[in-house]
Amino acid sequence: MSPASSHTTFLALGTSVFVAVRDPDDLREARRLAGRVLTDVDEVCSRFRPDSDLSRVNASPGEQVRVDPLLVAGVRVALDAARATGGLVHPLLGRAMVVLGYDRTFGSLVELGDGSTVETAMPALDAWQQIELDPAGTVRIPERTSLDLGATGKAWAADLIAATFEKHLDASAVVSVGGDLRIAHPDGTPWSVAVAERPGAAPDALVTLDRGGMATSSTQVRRWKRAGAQRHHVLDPRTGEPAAEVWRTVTATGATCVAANTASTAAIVLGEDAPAWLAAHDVTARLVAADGEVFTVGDWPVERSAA
Amino acid sequence: MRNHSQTRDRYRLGVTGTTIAAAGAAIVATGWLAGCAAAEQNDDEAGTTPETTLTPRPVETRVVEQTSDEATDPALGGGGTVAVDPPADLPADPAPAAPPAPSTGS
Repeated sequence: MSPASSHTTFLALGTSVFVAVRDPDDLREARRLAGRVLTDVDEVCSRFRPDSDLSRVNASPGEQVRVDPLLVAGVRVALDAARATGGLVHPLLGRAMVVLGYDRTFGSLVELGDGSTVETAMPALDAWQQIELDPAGTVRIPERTSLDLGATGKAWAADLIAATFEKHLDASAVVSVGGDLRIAHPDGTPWSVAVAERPGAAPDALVTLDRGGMATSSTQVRRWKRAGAQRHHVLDPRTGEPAAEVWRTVTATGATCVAANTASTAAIVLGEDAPAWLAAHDVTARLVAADGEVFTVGDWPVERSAA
Repeated sequence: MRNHSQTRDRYRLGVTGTTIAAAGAAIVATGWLAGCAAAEQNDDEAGTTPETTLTPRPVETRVVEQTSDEATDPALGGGGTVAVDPPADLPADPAPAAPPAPSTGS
């Protein structure tokens, strides 16, 4: 006998959101709570909305801008990720994204074959250290930079939703925001997780996770052409260009979804140095090389170990 | 510090004209507003009477109130246990850990 429906899927932040609950009676409330969080995050932190607080910060680089405290919290998370990765996960790549062609919601991107030389406007690798935050509600970014929380935003939203679940629900639940997932109220019974390189594709791996977060970073999905060159959205802050595709997909775990996503994104950027770096940071991960060969780090089950 | 007079906010004050009709409330424009008011337009004033919508705004967003230090722990590692071969009695609908599909939206 099949159990009552205990999961739902909906669209938010330009991506698919999955919510599952241990107690089917929690589903409606979980859906409502998740939707509320995502609405707040979108309205305050989206770089694609001209009316967002983030867009106002980007309109006045070098100036202290009063913002919703939610944006201060999001920037703080992004700064923590930059600190943990030595700037490899960088929150000031907004202008570089625009120059490379990622200047609108992804569904609107087309091939931009203007043939002109593209010069990236890259901030220094440590420029994120100059971001000033006031918990009371102001943000200042360095001049000639642009804030972009895309590297941590979805994972952070998943963590926020899980925190909301922990406050308002009694039983375990899991939320996946665009593939970045976090478990709330871990209860000893693991959740099934489908790991795939592409949304909607048959899973490459079907595993279980008992607590924390899991995130997948990939160069395979958000791709576009500009001036005849293939681009993807994971930039290497050291070069200003899309990261070399040593790994086309990395799935990592962490105590939080942000921690998992920080690790998976950094691994894409690090390329050949990724396995050693992940192992040194006690990260369990699954890496898919450009040719499709699968490697694992830490306690990821089965498959060939890379470190 | 720049303090935008028309700062976009989820609870915003928009005043575009000179005449405001509010039912039983005084409006104090000092920044964030603590109450609600609704503007009513008389048909005779259509086109000349501004529309003002005021909604309450807490000092902090409700989402920030619910965040915890653990939720934003920057430390890497420390993840849960990943296993294969899930027990047969686990739900058949796994949570997706796949990069998001391109779509319209933010």
